[in-house]
Amino acid sequence: MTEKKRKTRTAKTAPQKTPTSSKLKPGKKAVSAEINSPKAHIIDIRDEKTLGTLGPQLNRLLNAQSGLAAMLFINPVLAMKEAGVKLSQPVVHHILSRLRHRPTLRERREELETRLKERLCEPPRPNNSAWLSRTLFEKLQLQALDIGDLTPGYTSPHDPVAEKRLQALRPKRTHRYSHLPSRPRRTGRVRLQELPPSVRRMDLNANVPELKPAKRTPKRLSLEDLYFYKDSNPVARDLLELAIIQRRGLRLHSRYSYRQIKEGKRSNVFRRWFRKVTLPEPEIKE
Amino acid sequence: MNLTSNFDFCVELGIHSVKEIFHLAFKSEDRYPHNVGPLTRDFSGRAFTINVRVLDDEDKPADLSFQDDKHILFSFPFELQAQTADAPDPALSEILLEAQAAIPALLTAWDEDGDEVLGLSFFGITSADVDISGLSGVPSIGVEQFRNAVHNAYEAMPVHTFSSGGNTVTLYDGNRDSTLVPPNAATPYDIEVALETITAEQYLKVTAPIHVYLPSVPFVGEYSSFGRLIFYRKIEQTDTSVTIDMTAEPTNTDLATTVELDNPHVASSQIALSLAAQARGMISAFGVITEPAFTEAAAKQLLQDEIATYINTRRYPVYSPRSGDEGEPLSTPVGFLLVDDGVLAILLNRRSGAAADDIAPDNFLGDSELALAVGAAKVQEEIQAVIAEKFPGIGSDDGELIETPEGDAVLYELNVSLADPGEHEESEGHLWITGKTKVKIDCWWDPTVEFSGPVFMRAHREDSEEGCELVIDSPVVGDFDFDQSCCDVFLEIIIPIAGWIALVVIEITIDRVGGEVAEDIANEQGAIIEPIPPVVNGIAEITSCLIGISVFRDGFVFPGELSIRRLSRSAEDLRGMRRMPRPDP
Repeated sequence: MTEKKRKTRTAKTAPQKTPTSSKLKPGKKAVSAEINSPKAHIIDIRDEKTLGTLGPQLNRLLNAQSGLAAMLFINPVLAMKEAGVKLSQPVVHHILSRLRHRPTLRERREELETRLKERLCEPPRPNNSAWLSRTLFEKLQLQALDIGDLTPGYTSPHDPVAEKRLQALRPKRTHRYSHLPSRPRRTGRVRLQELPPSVRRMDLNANVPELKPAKRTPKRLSLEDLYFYKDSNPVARDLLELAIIQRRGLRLHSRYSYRQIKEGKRSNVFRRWFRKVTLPEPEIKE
Repeated sequence: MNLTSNFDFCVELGIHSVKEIFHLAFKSEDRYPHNVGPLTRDFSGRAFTINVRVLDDEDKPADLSFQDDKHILFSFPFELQAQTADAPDPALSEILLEAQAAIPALLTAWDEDGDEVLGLSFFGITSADVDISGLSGVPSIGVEQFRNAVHNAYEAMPVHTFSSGGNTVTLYDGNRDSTLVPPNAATPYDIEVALETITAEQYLKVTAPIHVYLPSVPFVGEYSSFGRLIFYRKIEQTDTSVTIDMTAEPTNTDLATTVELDNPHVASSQIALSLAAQARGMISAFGVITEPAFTEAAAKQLLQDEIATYINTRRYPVYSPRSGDEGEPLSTPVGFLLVDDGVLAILLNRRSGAAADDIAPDNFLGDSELALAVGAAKVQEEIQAVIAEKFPGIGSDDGELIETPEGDAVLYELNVSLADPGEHEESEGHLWITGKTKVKIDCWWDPTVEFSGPVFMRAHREDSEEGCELVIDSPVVGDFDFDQSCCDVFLEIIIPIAGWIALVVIEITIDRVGGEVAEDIANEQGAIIEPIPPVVNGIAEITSCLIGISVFRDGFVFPGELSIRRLSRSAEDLRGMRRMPRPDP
């Protein structure tokens, strides 16, 4: 971990500050401000440059509406629109693509999407189980495998170094009551249940066993089953990796889902847990 | 809810389990001899041999109840056999008193073979502490007993014929002395006795058959006649005996000894008078008759005394914890009895204050056989330790950088507190987690997120051939799809912390409460543990399994199940198994 990495961004290191909307001259193309009307758009952002320059002002606007804070993590575009920000389509695309994945994952996703599209002559849809089945067994002519009760390998969500430190907190094991004559030696243990498996933690590097052919070809293929084809076909592996990356992206909810979450009709961990989200605001000069 | 008072840990057992341990303890005859005696006691100058028997069987079970917060009231069926060799009435030579004795025992701690044990002590019990009820077997002394005593005294007389100045009086009692001449033809045939109350005093009226022979009587020469000797003797009763002094004639002249003769004679009244004077000496030959005769009060006192003597050196352990860490010795366990709930609460490791500050915890046992609790302060100690190990950067200016493939964040604050059911609009007790983090966002300013929410802790019991284990379920954050990408990352930060808190707190609780962590299990996270001490010193083996976890503002509670079995076999066991030792052929 480099020092640079540890440094968090502040208002000073973020994109250059711009004047607040109230100080803008009326009629300027990229920006318009209509503060007095709550339903009217206060900030109109039509390109990426304006997004950068008006960022601090936008942050202040979002900070002022605390109810919207958590909704930024549900769908930032819808949250901004609700706050009164008008976004052009290119800006919406820019925000969503930037937020969905961090750069390294985004590049890898684009690389995989391009390669798979070329190979399959259609956009890859690895999170669609019917599409996966058709692709593997009809288009790629792969033999269906008898997977039975096997489960994929998963990487641990735990940091091994922290795990080691935590293990030291457990009491040392001491042998007491050794003179018990006849009782079974083991009467009680405590164990921590593993976290539930998650597609995003599937271990692409783990070996899968050789499996016998299945008697029938499944109509649908889950990602858990796709896992067992990853070492036998490079397309299958790419599909699995793309699926994992897709699952690792920030899930951006649809307008309907956004509304359901906001109204409390659908549960969401961000909505439930995030009490306050504060974005850095521009410094006010005297 | 007060789970552990001013202590770190508390174990609660139901009265049923305490009774089970008590019955097993009581079957250990080396500790609690059921037969005591023979003992020699002296009552009113009479030597008695005393044997005491304490019972606890199906017909006459011993029992206990919680008397107050520090005393258990035991109820023992006792039998006391008192024997005296020379009771005038042979039927009174042996009496068997039976009673139920209620005796309080103090819940206290002591050192036993180097181990601190919590148990019940009868030390210092006096007769006054022993309450007797259902007393039976106290003999009632009535006319029958006096009749037998007089018959017995008659047989003990060396002679039954008394001569004085040539006059001979023969004293009969049926044909108890068949050598007498003439043979008994008097009325009554046997000595008769009756109890009479005269001027508020009780007297024994004795009518004894006699024959008189006077060789020289005026006018007729010799005279002989059957007749009766009638006399009164005062009955003196003490708490332990009834005495009739046959040598002492009442001063009341109405009760003077009289003689009635069957053969008429003109001088019969003079004859009778002269014989009456002679008869007093004859009556003295009956001596002093003393019957062992306990009043109910005296019988109770006797039982109280003997039971107090029997019990006041006894005590038995109920809970025998043993510290596994020499550097951190287990503090003296302190017990409280929750009388209304029938719960024995054992507090361990005083956290603050002194003995005078100790107070009883609340009942958190519920319907369980066993429950362990760890107090909020101790839990918080472990929470801080877990957070410090998991996220050492928290609290510093730089915070703790959390890097994931999905994105990075800096965690500045993370606090975990305990919450009761009903708090934060949650019906279940939970960990309430609050924190502050800065989320790194590509090409934008990093937002600071303040979060808070409940984490529900659950656990369940699983059994295998090796025994039982408590599996701490993956903590539940809410009704969320776990595979929700970024949500998933957030949950993966919160959930392991809660899981580790539960694991460490449970293991430390078990370790301190007195269970063992016996050995490693290869390639497993779990350890072999005993939730409570697996043995009560010299008495019982205990197998316990924890079955869950509950969170309260005052701490964690782990309900459990118990099975108790005796450590050794008694003569009763062997008899039941038909394995009693047999004599050599």
